[in-house]
Amino acid sequence: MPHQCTSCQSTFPDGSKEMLSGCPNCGGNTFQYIPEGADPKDYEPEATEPPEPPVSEDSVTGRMGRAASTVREYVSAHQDKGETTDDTPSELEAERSEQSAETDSSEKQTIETGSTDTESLEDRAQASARGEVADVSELHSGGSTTGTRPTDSERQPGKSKTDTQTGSASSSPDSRKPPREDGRVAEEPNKAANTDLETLRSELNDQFESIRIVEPGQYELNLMELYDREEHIVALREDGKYVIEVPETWRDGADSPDRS
Amino acid sequence: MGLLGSLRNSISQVANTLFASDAEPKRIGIYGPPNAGKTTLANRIARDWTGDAIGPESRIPHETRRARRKENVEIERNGQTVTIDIVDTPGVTTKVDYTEFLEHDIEKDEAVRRSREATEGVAEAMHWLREDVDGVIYVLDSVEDPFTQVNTMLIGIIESRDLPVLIFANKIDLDEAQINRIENAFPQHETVPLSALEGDNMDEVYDKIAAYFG
Repeated sequence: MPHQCTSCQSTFPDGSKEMLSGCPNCGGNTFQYIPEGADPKDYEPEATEPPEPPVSEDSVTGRMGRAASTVREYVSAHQDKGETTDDTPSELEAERSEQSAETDSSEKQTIETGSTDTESLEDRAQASARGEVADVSELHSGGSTTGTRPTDSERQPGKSKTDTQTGSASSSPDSRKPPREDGRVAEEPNKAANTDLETLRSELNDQFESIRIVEPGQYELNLMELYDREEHIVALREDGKYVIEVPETWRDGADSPDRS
Repeated sequence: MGLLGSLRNSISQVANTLFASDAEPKRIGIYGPPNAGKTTLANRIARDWTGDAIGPESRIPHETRRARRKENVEIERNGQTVTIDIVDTPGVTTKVDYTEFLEHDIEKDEAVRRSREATEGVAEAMHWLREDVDGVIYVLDSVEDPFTQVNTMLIGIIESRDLPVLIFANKIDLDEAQINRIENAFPQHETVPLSALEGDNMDEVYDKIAAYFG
């Protein structure tokens, strides 16, 4: 009996088809594999290492559902207080290092855009999500909860501008797309990441070089960028620097004190 | 009210006529990819109407690496004179590679220098297009495929600026020339076939220049 439902502990033989559509006893969809000859007690939920809830030990759905509900609780608590208490637990650093590269990068982008409110919000959510056990019933309402979160934050009069922007940015795709019924809210941090990525992309486009030096004597030119530049590149140097001729209007500004 | 209106119109018409005669000559940029024959055309026009040339012609691409201007070129058509400034620009491209010059027996150091200057030339040509050009003669080699990124982008930029533009299908003296291909590529613009080198069809060229840029 190698497969065991993590919710009701029912076991199923290897190759069993009845568990393919979920546990027939409790409807759970998370199973663990117990090798032949191993002691099933070793695989009981209590024995699992991290303080993860037994419901969905390694399920992103469960984790994100809890994160969503924690965010909701946090936001409603925040509303009551009307002010953020910026207590960052030291364990957050450790939590952050455990996160996947994708989540990490999205967080970095948030920091870069200076959204400190959102950052602390997410940190608390992540920390609580890992440390707290949520009701199974809450998992299913997670998707819709997250969908309404930005609206909640928008309603708050005391919210910072950055936070409101982040909220409204992620709320617009939400309003177009109905919440997923399986409670998956994995898009929640990704939406923030997408918004930040768009900002980043437009910043990069703005900074995109007019002339790329592949190697001395080999160049790639961005014609649109060259056309759009107000200043005129008059000489190239191999160290990647340009000599430019600035427009008359720029010089006028610099010269104006002399004229007056 | 009607009398005042017609009086105002008359005054503005007179003013327009006066200013038009004193207006600066239009600056016509000769644009196109490298080796399309831009300098050959510029020299042909300049020699025909001023007796001087604009710059050296060459089979080596990017021979023109700085924009050159010939001012006050007076073209006479049907008893009227059209005065223009001709700006011969470096060939526009998205990649410049010094190895291209090595094929023409140029030493590596010189090839690298030419490559850098050619790149600066493209930057200059794009700058002229933005700032200093009132109309464009877009020169294409009739032997080459006109459906390129550079051609599409430049024509697009010219159109976005609402500049008058003539497409010149050059090198029609060559057997492989395909004028139709250019006409099909840019059907929204007038295409004039010519050979700047041989002086073929130059009468039509000047007629069109006078009509478009006069």
